[in-house]
Amino acid sequence: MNIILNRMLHVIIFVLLNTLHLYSNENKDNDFRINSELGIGYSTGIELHKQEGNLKGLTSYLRVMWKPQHRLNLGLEIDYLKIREIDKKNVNTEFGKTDFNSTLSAIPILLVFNMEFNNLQIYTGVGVSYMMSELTAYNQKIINTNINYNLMISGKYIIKKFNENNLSLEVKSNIITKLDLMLINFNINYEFNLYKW
Amino acid sequence: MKYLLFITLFVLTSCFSELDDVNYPKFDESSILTGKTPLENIDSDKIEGIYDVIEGQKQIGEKIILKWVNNKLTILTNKNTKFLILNSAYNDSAVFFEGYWRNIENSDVGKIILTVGKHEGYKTLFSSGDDTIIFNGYFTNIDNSTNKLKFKLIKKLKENNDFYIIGHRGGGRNSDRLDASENTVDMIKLSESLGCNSIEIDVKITKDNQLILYHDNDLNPRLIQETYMIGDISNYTYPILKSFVNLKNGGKIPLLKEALDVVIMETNLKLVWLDIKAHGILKEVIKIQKEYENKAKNLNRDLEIYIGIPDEEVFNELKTIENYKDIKTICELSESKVIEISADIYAPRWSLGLQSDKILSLKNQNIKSFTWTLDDRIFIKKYLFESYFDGILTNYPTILAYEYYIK
Repeated sequence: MNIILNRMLHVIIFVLLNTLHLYSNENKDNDFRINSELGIGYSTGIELHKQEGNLKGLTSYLRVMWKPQHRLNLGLEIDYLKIREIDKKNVNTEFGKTDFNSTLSAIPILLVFNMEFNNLQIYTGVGVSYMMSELTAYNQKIINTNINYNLMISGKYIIKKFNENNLSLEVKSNIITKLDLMLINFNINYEFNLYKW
Repeated sequence: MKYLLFITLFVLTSCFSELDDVNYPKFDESSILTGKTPLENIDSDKIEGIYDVIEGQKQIGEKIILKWVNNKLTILTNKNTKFLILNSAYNDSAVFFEGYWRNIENSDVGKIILTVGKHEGYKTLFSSGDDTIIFNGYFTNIDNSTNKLKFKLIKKLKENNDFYIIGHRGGGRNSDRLDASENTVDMIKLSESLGCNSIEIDVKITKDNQLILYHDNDLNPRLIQETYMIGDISNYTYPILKSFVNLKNGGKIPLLKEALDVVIMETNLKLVWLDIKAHGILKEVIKIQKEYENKAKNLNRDLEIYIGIPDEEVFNELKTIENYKDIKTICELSESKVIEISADIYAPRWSLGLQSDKILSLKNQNIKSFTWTLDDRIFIKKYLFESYFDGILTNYPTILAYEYYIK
């Protein structure tokens, strides 16, 4: 099954990126801009191997895009994702009863590419996720961190324009490859101009 | 730049795990063994041997090896990486075998049913006859079609069993999706059915100083089911690992002592190679090595336990220990370092070649040589037939054992 999903993902990305750019906007003005975007939303997940615990939580992100007014824009994004929370009380183990609490969160740092189709914008990103795990059991707290590859694809629709600022709804997917985990985020996004020349 | 984006995304999506689950057949209620007497403690010499395949050559090849291990029948083949493991029981009319076949190089698995009838060696299995044993049965393909199987004993296995067939990570890796996780007691129990007579296991230490079997530095989805547990395994205490971590193909992370208990009490394995995967643990491992060698000796169990010396850091750590030359070791470093620490076994990487002169020279100094990690059938045959190595470490002991016995 994993093989099929993987191949399907390859095909979808290939077809999307090789066709959509043909229809993307290319602004005719000569302004170069740096825009900033703030987003906040709700995350849920799809995983290849079902795990216990709550795979839902708040997410937020900051994105800074360089818009050279060509079809493809480039930027940087930093997210905060709460991936999973498990809270179990009075678990019976061979070492006695214990409460078990575990939270896993991630901070993806991504290189982001963007194409615009009128009010619709497509983003893809590649980078790494700084993962943080905090686990408590047997009255011990264990904190661990590691770094995984991360890719992101999202679609944003502008619902309101205020001069050079935009209010949008964005559906975003973060894929943390090593964990075979795909997080789907539903976000409200506010985009504003930082600098123009 | 656009195409750079395409390429990057392609590479990253390729990082996804591509391994399908392997669904081993279940026999619970449909088992043909139900209501029959389990076949136990038969004379393995009666059933073990080289068999000529009369029907089913396309499925299992022309010649197969049968081994009787821990009251299970193992069939080794030269058809890809296919092997078969079967349980058994008997009644007045026949002996019945039921189990699975598995091709390790993909996710293929299926059922096997075999019988030995009244006039096909039934009595021979119970040591009261000398008929040639003939197995009849069928093989279920992945599309659920079946093929007939029939094979006949033609030759006993060689008695001289001095070669070390060493299973990597207790018998096999997780990526091969065997019926047990790597470095577990279940894998150790399975190892002999896979053809091993020796195993290599990986030793690490937990935060509360417990020696455990585990290969990687961190908890990760290659080895465990809980993707929410990440980070260095040495940050976790053993009670947390034991209670809340489930290994990828089932089972729990065992203590080194639990693993060695299983080796001594539940297998006939003749050698254990303790691969040291953490630094600063050597003294503790050596204590356990000595304790379990004594335990095996007291039980008249012929078992060799060696400490693996994989790198310079462990090598230097060994040299700080009093009487280090008396410690039984397998050294993966150079020939000169083997001699410097009086290692018992020299273990070079297979890609260094046959090294015949060096191996013979060490043999003359009573030092054995193992090579690692050899998985390709062509190279396994080459090293088996043309080298002077005393043992081979492999992820595919089924291939090595087949080629060793058929040689």
